Amino acid sequence: MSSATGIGVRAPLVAVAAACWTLTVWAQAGTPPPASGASAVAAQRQRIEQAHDDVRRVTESTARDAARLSHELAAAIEADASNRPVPRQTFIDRLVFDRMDRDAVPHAGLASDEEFVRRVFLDAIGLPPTPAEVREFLSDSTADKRARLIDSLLARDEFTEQWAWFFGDLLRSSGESGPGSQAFHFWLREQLAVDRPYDRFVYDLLTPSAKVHATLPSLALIGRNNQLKSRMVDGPDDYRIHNRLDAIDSLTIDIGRVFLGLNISCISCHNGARHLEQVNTWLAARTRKEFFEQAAFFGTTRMIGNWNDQIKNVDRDLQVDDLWKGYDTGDDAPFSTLAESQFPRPKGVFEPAFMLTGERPAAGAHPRAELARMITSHPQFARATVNLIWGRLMTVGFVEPYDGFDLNRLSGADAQPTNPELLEALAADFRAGGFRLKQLIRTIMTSSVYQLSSRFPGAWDDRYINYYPRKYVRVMSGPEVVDAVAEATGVPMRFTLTGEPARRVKQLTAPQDVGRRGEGQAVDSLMQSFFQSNRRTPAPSANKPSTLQALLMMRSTVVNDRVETTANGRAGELVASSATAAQIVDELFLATLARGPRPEEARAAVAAVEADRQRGTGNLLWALLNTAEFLVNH
Amino acid sequence: MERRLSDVLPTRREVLRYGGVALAGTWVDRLVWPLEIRAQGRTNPRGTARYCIFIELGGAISQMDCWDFKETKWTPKDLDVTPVANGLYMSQTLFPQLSKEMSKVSIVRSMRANELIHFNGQYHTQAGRTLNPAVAREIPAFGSVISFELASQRRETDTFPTYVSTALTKARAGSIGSGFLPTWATGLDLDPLTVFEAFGGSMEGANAVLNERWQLLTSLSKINESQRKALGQRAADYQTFYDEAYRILGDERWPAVFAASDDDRARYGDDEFGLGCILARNLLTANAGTRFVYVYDGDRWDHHAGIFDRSLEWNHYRTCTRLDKGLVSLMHDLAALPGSRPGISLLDETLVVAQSEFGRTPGMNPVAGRDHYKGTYSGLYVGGGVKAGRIVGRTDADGGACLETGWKYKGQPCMDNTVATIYSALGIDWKKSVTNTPSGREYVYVDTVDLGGSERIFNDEIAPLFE
Repeated sequence: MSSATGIGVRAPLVAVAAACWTLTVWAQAGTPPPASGASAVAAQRQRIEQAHDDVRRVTESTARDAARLSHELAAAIEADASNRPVPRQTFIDRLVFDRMDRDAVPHAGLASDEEFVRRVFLDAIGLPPTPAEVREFLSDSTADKRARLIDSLLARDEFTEQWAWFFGDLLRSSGESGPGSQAFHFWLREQLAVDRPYDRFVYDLLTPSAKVHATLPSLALIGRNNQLKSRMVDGPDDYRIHNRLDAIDSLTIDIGRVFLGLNISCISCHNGARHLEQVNTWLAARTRKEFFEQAAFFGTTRMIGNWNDQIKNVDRDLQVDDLWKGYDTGDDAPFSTLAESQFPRPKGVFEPAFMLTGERPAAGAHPRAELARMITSHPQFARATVNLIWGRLMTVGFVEPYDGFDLNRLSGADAQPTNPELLEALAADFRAGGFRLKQLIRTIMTSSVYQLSSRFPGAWDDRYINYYPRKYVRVMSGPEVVDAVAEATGVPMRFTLTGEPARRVKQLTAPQDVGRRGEGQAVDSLMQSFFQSNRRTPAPSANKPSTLQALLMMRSTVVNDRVETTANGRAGELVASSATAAQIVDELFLATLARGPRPEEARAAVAAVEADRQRGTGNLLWALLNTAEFLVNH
Repeated sequence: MERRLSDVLPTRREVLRYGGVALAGTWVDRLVWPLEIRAQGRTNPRGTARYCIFIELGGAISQMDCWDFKETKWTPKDLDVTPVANGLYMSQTLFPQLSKEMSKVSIVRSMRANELIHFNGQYHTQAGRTLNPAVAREIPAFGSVISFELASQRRETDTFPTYVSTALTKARAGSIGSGFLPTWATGLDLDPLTVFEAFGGSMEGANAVLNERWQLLTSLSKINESQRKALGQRAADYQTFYDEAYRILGDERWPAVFAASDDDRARYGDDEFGLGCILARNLLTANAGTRFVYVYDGDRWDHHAGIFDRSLEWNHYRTCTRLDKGLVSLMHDLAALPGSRPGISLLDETLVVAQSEFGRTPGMNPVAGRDHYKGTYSGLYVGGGVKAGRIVGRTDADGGACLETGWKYKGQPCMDNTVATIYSALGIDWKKSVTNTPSGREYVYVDTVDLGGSERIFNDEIAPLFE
């Protein structure tokens, strides 16, 4: 496998660095006109719709569903646990295994090297290992080979591709903000490559001035929403283009969700009381006023677009400063629907106060900088972050969905997290280690809990779910499936990004970059069927098997063109080589499933290749790509 | 006895079971099976249609500019409005073809919506009921109910799912899945923009290759058979998806479903909506098991600003003429295709309904657009046993108030009644109910709902369409 990215990373980084760290204050003269009734109504309507879309967003990825799916899929997977004893070496192991010992919950054995090598490749870099990489790992007999493999994967370029895509989905970097989202993509990868402290990284996301698209796609999203309404404004300086309460509230909700694990969209419209008691006791006690005060940190922020007279639209490069008058709900015209009777907003001016502590920004301080400080120094920030990463690597998060924290139920008999002590310990470790994401991923991956087999011995019981007594299987994401097919077949993707060739989906900045030409449409269909969002809406949290996935995997040109033995690629090269049928079979099993064939499998596969070397090889590769074992990380 | 908070709160398990809203996909954990179904036996479903195509005009079509036309000070000069059949007026500019077909079409002008928000409205359209977040997770799409009800009529040769939708995952509410109904009742959602390329093309020789590959795949996975059995029914579910996909792919009718000629594309429109209509036609003519197609016309109708401004990408001229092409081409093709019995056409046994989630305001807003409106909106019905030229209900001069509901009730019909009408045409008893749902709340196919005041949802079909 080549570790070259094929993309010029360096040049854009310079530009992004300039954008992020140069605080260009772009003072805007003149007082913007008040909102007219119509645009305020439209704005309010949009805000209502967004808030409720968010609330009703799929919440299917609950612990139980994930565990059951895992159990179901595990049946289709050949995975023998190793017979070696399960070492208990890290604090994660102690907190998980001690609990199982106490409650007499059985657990799986340690994953075999074959199971482990594929798992850790897919999780760390989003690609299956090549046959050579599998062989190298299996033949290594040193004691610390798993830890060394983890280190080497975390140092690779593909690590930054995999996790930039993860954060791109979360932060909804949709690619619609043009060059800005590309710059953001490269900036993100650079942060990940150098393992920049995550608190600094978030601070930079929340406090940019100058050209914001490069740094905060959530802000870019707001810019886009408001561009739709640009016909309603009076001119390039009309603050309503980019300074609206609905936009500020939407950003506030995004920030709560991703950085604090809290979905506060409910209380953007109504107090929690008499609404949320059955859902979230902490939110039930929050008020709409507290939401307004939280949003008020952005109340003086102005986003000013460049105006293009010809199309009466705003350019995509926005300027940002903090010189506006403040968060004043009196600016919003009343809007009420019978279906949603909580509206309109009560009129008033709100001063910023951090929802978790009540702290107000110091006099004269930059409100967004103060917010960034308050968020990143609060324990919930570390908790929410380790929950995100744990959920991604372990399939079942401590709290599901990731923004569903109930802060009244962090511990005790009624505790919400699957393992409250471990959540706290991991969060404390993350804080003490300087908020290093790569270190956090390493800590989880090197634990025996992460390295358990997905194969559970004996009868499974749903009551075991919260104990993590096995590795839960996850269906691969859309880009992972596409990139894994390309990698396993040895026929790379042929995308371009800023004129440079890109071999993998995850080298692109956003799903839209796959385009509609050439293979683009087929790749797009395949990714959608595996629940890739377009990033304009929050990402769907459910990814599970479906008939459509099966149809596309069996029929899509993305797969079928790549198993052709006439083309350049793994199948064609093997057919043309002097390899025996058994060697071809071995190589294809390693390339797809990272293991050799079982004897019964070898018999069926060798017979197919011997019957017709060319067709048999292509057919075998196709069949392997269509096994459940290929499509999941287990 | 003193009650603690934790006594009142549901357990985490219960919250997971009832509190979440799952809108994309199916409920993995089915607690109740088999379903206890109670047939009320108080309806006489008409059974006039074998198929149904429901076209959702996402974003909401402006009823007073289209099918319940009202001339006002805002009416543009170039609409070329003329009298058409049944005493209606219609714009020749917006509907050059449909305006000539109005004698065949029925319109319900007295519809009332319950929501003013796209998400809720589109949920209601797809589920046939208002959103109740407490139980939304177990509520099936009405297409899934159709799939469930018609399952007993499936033939050995049927390979395609009973319920297919197009572009529905792009709707605000997504594709809402089968709720408490079995997984197989889920709609198969296809993206018209990519599916012709992904699945089209010649199958000559391809099926032989597919067959060969399938045999090999089967022989590789057979090895796990014993383990799979040990794990019981649920473990076989993953294989079910592949088996179903293989049955579809192996069907020789498959290539015809994913074929669109240049002539088709020119007549219907070579875009998401036109291709969705072509797909609907192809699915029915393939006669391979699909009985209900839900065509989603993706959110092009939300004209809050500049509704008649031709410089805007999705202005009303464009959305209407686009609908005109697809809808009328579908009507023409279905009318020209033979039905299952001699002397009747495919249109005679296919109920086609076109409707949006709510209406638009009678007045123009300050930016020359129309906003969301629930007081009135219109639905269009053709084929499938609905009488031609029925005009149900009447509205006032600007279309904002309902003067006559047009059916036996004083209250206006709403989406629930459209669903009852579709059920009736397909021969489904719409007052049936399922009593053992996971939440324990009875699920009535079409229920009566008191909305407070004089507003009420009736559990009835829109009978005048058939009479």
